[in-house]
Amino acid sequence: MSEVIHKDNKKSLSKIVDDLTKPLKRHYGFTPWILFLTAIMALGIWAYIIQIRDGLGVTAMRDYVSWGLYIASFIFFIATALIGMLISAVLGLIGIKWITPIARIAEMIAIGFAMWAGLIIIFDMGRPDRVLNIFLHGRIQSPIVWDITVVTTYVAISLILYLLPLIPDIPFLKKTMTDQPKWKQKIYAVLSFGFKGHTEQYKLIKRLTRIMAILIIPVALAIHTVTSWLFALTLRVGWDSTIFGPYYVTGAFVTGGAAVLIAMFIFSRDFRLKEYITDFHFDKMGKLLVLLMLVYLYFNINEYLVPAYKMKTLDEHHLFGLFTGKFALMFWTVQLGGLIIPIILMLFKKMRRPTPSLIIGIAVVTGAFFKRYLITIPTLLHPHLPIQNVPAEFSTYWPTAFEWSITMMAVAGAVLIITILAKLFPIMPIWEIAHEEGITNEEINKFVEEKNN
Amino acid sequence: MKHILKPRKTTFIFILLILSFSVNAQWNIPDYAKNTKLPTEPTYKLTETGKQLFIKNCIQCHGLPGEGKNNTAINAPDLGTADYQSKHNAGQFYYQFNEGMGFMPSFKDKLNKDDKWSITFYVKSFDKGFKITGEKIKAENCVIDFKTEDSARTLIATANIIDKNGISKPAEGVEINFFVKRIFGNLPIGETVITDQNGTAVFKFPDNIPGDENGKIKIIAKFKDSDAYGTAMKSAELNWGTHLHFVNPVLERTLWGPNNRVPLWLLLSFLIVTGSVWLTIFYVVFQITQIKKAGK
Ligand code: HEC
Repeated sequence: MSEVIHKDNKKSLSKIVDDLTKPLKRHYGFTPWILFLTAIMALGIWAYIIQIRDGLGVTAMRDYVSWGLYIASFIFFIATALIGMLISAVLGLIGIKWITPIARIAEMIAIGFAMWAGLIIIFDMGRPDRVLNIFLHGRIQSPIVWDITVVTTYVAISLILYLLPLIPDIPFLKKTMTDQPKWKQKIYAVLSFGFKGHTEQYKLIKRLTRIMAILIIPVALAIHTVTSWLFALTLRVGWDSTIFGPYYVTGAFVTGGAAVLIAMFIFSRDFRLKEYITDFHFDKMGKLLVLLMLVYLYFNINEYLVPAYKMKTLDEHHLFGLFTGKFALMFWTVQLGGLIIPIILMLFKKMRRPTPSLIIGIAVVTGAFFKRYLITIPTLLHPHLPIQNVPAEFSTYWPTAFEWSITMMAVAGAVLIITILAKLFPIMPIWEIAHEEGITNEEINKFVEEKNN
Repeated sequence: MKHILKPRKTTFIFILLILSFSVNAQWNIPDYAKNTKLPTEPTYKLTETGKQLFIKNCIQCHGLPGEGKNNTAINAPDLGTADYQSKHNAGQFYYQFNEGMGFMPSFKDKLNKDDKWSITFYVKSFDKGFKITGEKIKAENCVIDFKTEDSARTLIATANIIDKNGISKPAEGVEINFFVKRIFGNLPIGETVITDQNGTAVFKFPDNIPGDENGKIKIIAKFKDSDAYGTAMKSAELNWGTHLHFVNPVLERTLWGPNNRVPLWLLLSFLIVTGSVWLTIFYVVFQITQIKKAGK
């Protein structure tokens, strides 16, 4: 179907370049948006300065709940970042065409969230000045070292996978962005790596992209599996599970898929790219999300039903806490509103149109965030030895304003990275879209040179 | 007050009462018992043996004579009271515990005559009028010693008693135990040995006791009955133990060890995986710098 649609109304190269570079120059609402993000971040930085000054006591974390909102957000961020791999690598390698206009968006989300995931671990540290000790004295036996290794690796690969397909777009930018500030032009000059539209160069870039796309699949699986192992390699109730790896990975795809839907909506509207990100793309992405959510639902059933059937004493406290106890409201809201209802709704074509997709996407992402909260905190409130003779506050946890501010700073920070990338570079690969429209390399080269004159 | 007699306790006492009435609650000691002739002279040594036997067979119901730790629930009396002693001579006592009655078991077939008389002498020693001959052993006068025979790993222990005149005499029939010194206390090894008329006892040292890295081991000899013979002991360091090969688990490559003792399989997997991924990354980065070349 997609091919037919594209061929019916062929776009000219100049129109494509125009459509995709205009948003980089047009700035309505850009300043307020950046101010908004900076304000959130400023609040977070202030909260973090207080946290550094007064110590982690300003959080609600105490002896028992020693992993709180930060670690829950950390998993959430890693999860969101994982979608870059699924869309640009897995779907790209199988040769699925409709991902062309959204692959780079997914990659931007991956970079923004993976980078901040690394920072969130540091927020959770009482002595961030000792962070280097992880590298100097970290034990290879410890999952935290694996995690730091794999997060760094994933950020590096994501960056390369973002930059590589960007190189053939640089000539367009060089030609069209002549009215832009010097520093931007310098960035373009550096990132062009001497690309001249030569066939050999295209071939090389495609080959390198392919290598990176293959490499990112195991690394991405590793990043989230290792994150799940931070939990599953302990003997704690609710974490001591053999399916935690795949459970996290599928959960991550759901989160990232929903995040991509939200981003698609915002970019197609704000950047006026409805012609490129069409209802068709929303429909496809919605179908993919339903599939991912069904797989995730299957893992959820396994993760809760299997221990619930056996009801070992400690599991019992934990599970009843979730099903009918303290966490029941959050648990059922997350499971119904963030998973089951979205699945049912998205089975209908009407619900896969842009606006419903946006709303469902927001519900799924919010649900996913609190799902990470439900994975992290209740377990910590059920230690193997009963909680006794401690101050009352030790046996409950609800994040303080400081924790929320710092977490919101991370969210704003990730969105800021995405915003900056979207303002510096086209959010879709111009050259690939041109190729899909049947425009040859010669035509592209001619176009680039023409403009130059 | 009404709580003192709990229903369960009341029934229990009730049953006991019925039981004690249902059996003949009277000791029926025939007259001849009183005139039984003692088979030997009662000596201090025999009372000692008797004490050990009493501890083995009677103490759980009667307690040590004169200490009042008898089991009143089954009505077993303390046998050291002046009242009991004055009313029962050796022959009557012997008859009573030989025959038994009610809860008091009969020892007719359980102990041999010598042992039963030793017990009798021991219990009667609480009667001031009962004459005991022989020498009373004073704990501080007992000495223990041992020699080693390396070839056969044999220990020859000797027990001696020093008399009033300071002359050392071999002690016969004294029980001696051997121990090996461990970190926490002494580990008893082997059976108790008893000295012969020369005051010596032979002990064969087992060959499977762990020593230190050199097989060194500290052996201790003590009197079994420290009440009678005192706490004198003799120790010696010998290398009769097995050689210990202690492998400190902290020094092995383990998951819980420090970074320089990471298990090799883990180290290799980590290095191979991270190494190959980063080599690929470096390769691709290098190739990116080659894009310009490819355009020429
Ligand atoms: C199972 C507990 C038990 C054991 C073991 C036991 N006795 Fe007794 N003995 C009793 C009880 C009970 C009585 C009191 C019987 C009665 O008067 O109804 C008793 C009574 C006696 C009496 C008579 C006391 C009197 O007041 O007339 C003598 C003597 C005696 N036991 C000696 C011994 C000796 C010696 C031994 C060990 C060789 C021994 N008993 C072991 C329970 C025991």
